[in-house]
Amino acid sequence: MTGRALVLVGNGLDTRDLAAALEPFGIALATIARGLRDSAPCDETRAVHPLSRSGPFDGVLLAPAFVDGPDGPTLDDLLDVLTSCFSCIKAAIASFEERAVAGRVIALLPGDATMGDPGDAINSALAGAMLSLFRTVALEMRSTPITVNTLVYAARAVDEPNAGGTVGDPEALASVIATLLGSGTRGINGQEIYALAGADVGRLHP
Amino acid sequence: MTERPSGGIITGAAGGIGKALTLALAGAGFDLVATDLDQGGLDALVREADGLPGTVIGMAGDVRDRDLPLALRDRALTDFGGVGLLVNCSGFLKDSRIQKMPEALFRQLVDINLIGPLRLIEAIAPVMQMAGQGRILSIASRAWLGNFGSSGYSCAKGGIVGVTRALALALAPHGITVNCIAPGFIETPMARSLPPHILDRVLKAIPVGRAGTVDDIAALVLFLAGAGSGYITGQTLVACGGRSISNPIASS
Repeated sequence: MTGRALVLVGNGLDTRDLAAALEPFGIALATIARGLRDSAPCDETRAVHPLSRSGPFDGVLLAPAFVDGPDGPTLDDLLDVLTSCFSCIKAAIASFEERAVAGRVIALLPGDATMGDPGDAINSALAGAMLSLFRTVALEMRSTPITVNTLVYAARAVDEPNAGGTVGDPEALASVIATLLGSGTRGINGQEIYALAGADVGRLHP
Repeated sequence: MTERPSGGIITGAAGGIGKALTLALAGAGFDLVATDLDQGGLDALVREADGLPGTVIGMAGDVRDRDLPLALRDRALTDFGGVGLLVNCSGFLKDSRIQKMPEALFRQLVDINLIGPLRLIEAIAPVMQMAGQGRILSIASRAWLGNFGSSGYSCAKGGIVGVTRALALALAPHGITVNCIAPGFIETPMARSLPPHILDRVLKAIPVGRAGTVDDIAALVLFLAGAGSGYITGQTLVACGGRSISNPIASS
């Protein structure tokens, strides 16, 4: 598969190496630099949604997560981020339908928060909310060529000041993303892929 | 954890499920501060609870009001001497496919069904930590598994499930359990207002062949609120008549 374009939205993942890891699969990764948390929810109309300025795209990666900082995230932040994610998915679907593209929407969620992190209740709430949002949207897309899936990645913290909060294994992420972007994966919809190298085995998934 | 905690708080207390939970808990001796948007409904609830072993105090409020959690906490502390039980039962449901759902509606659904309960937990958990015991219960929904047309509601309920897992781990060393219940289709006034053909279709998708009752949920809450459930935490108990393991959409 060649010549596919992905847009990544969100500040939950350091993508410096992900773009390089996707290149061998013929996937170009663009990012929307603004963090989901840092701005007001996206406008309702797709015309002013940042996605509309990204050019034609085949898929959207949504990577919401709060980055540790001196001021922890608040419940207002959580509400803003979830609303932004909703608007982003809505804009992506509208774009896919308008262009008759079998688009892919993929959530990227950190494993610790998704499985339940005792030190990070807000990110755990965010991850749980995203899982359920994606399940519901997948159901609604069932009769369309659009698929909606979630990839849970093993995150490790990054201390560098300019890095995103966490980094997944870029090569591991890239291969799963490339698979989900393939034309043969229409039957994979509403699924959650735990790419945690087995760290979740023996634990109930949310 | 004693059989009867020092006091409890329940939100959404005048609604279909909330009312049943309040009466069941008061019947079992729990003293409760009960809140709901519906002042008239709360008044009726307090009257109905009169004479039960537990006391029910009504305090009208909106879970989106940032001052409500502390006001409820203070009332429970003043009248009952503590808060050993929190039941998040407030809820708001309005469905629409994602393409047609306005952003404002999505935000409202998440605000009421997720952010409101989290504000309550944020206010009450420290009191329980100081006491070294407590039960936090939230009424989630089977929609957490995904439900056509319910992107906002489902998203919020998924958030409840996610935070339940995290807080259960964080609060377990303090003697506090955190669980949630995910009801399926429950016979409430809202459910009875569905068009007959939709109702019929939903009922056909329930393996046990009936809608759930508010008493089904009350029995679970009584168990999880009591001393016998101290080894259960971080769980989502799905009470849906088997719908979550069958095809949720029955053929019409």
